Amino acid sequence: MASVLETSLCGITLHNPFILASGIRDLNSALLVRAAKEGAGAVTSKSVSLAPRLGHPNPTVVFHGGIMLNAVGLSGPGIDAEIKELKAAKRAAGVPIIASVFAQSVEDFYELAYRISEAEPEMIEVNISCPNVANEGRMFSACAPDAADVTHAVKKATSIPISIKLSPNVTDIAEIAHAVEAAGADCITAINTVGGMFIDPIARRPLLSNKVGGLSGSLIKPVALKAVWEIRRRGVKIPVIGTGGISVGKDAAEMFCAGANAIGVGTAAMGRENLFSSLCLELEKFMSENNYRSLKDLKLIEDGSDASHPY
Amino acid sequence: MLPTPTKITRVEQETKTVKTYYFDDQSYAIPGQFYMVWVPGLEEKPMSVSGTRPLSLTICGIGPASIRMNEYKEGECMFLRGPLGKGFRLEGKSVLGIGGGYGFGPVRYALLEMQKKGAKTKAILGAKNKDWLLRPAAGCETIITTNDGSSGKKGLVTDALLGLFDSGEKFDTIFTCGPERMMKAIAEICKDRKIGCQMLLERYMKCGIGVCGQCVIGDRLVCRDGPMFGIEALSFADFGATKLDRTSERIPI
Ligand SMILES: Cc1cc2nc3c(=O)[nH]c(=O)nc-3n(C[C@H](O)[C@H](O)[C@H](O)COP(=O)(O)OP(=O)(O)OC[C@H]3O[C@@H](n4cnc5c(N)ncnc54)[C@H](O)[C@@H]3O)c2cc1C
Ligand code: FES
Repeated sequence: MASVLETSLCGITLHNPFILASGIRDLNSALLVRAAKEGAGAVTSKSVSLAPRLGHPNPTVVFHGGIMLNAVGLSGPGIDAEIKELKAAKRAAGVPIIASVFAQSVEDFYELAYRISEAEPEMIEVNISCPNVANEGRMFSACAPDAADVTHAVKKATSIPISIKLSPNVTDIAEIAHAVEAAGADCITAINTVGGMFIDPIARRPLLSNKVGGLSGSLIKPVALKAVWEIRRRGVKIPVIGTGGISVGKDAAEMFCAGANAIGVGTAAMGRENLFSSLCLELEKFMSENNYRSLKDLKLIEDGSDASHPY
Repeated sequence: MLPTPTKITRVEQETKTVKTYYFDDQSYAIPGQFYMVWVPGLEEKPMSVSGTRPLSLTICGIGPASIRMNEYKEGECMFLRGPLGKGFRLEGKSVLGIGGGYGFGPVRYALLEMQKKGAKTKAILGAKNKDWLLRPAAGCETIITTNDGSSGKKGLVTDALLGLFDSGEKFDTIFTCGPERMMKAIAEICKDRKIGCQMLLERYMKCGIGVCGQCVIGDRLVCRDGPMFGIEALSFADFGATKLDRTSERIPI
């Protein structure tokens, strides 16, 4: 009998809904295979660009009081090395592989999606939280037309299902979700990190060499829940990988209630040994204690109140 | 954990390029653990603990960040984040410490901790030449080797190690830190003779806390699963062979 946690995402079967998020302990095949062995339902590789990238100098990641702030700068070996790593991961992981890509122009997104398809990942995740050089460095994730342009280009380049990873650093994430759905996206990953900074008042400098970075960890869970809920409330139908601050099984139950179809786990992977198998056990226990027989039972009760009031 | 400004109370020049910094910090760290040292405006780099109570770091100036660190003076503050990682298991009745170059810093600290526990200690301290030799561990019989014979015996630390075995010496554990090929050779010798071997490995580090994956060896993370690894490291295909550079491209050691 299939486990209660088995789920399907864009036609791909996951033996559990927990997906290693991009950028955390995933920079080569050995680490992807390790996460799979530790129980992840699927694993996402670190976002790769066409050419190798050095990334930012240190400090690139700081963790303090339950919040992580990072600006690693998407360092990576470039597409050629990445294809080899993904092929190796595919042979050994035994779970679906999601290949994450990012670029600074629509043309490069097209080429990346086309080239990475050679490694036959089960899904391609498109990281659009990066500056568009053709548009004065505005983030692709920041406006609906740019996000849609990337989605169109990537869909043309590949027949593999694609998930667009949305940024919460926007006025209206649901508008962008709609635009990428209309442009043909198969799935949405929500959310990427929340913009922020730490400053050291003795050094009188920002802590990160990049000055600003992205927040993650349990404190951003409410931001992620609201984003996913808002995307659903506004009628987006494609599956959503709910990501942001999930660290225990019950967090995942909350994320399913918000409308997610699968769960991305990032920052928590640094803190807990055997995170994925623990998350599965915790979610199963939570479900059985509360008489939920299937993940589909985890949905909000609609009692008609309008959410458009000011806070 | 944020970088904390920590006052330098004393600076000891150990060799032309290596200085040991003592700090106004009484916290304990296990030998083998490390701190991230932030030079605001420049970089943040990992440095092994070379002593505690007071905390000390032994820094070899070889590139932009470490040379800048070695310009710090007594009374100034360094920004430290740690202790991080997994250190040596301080077990054994008779232990040998083997250090190559600045790698002797954490080994010396481990030997002194073992002496406090009543263990018999011995050391092999190796370097290219006499200018690269750190100060030996007090109260610990030490064999010195240099590649050019400018101090101690001419040769490698592994020659001295085999010499000790030939003369019938027995150890339950070897603590070592230094160039990776040296440690690999020691691990192979220990494996053959069924002796415990604990090595401190180095990889290019970014986060230092198990997030970015940059410091991977085999499927382990040096910053989080290590830096201390035992003989099991011999099963990593990349041990003593290749490592990831800052872009995470694989390059020979
Ligand atoms: C766990 C660990 C403990 C260490 N302990 C000590 C110590 O006690 N004393 C000491 O002098 N050095 C130690 N190092 C090495 C030290 O971190 C590097 O010498 C330093 O980062 C060099 O930086 P740089 O800018 O001065 O030189 P660069 O010119 O940038 O580099 C010189 C050398 O240092 C290596 N290196 C550079 N950056 C890093 C990095 N972020 N992480 C790891 N290696 C790097 C390079 O691969 C190169 O071989 C340790 C490294 C690790 C991983
Ligand atoms: S340095 Fe980032 S995981 Fe080790």
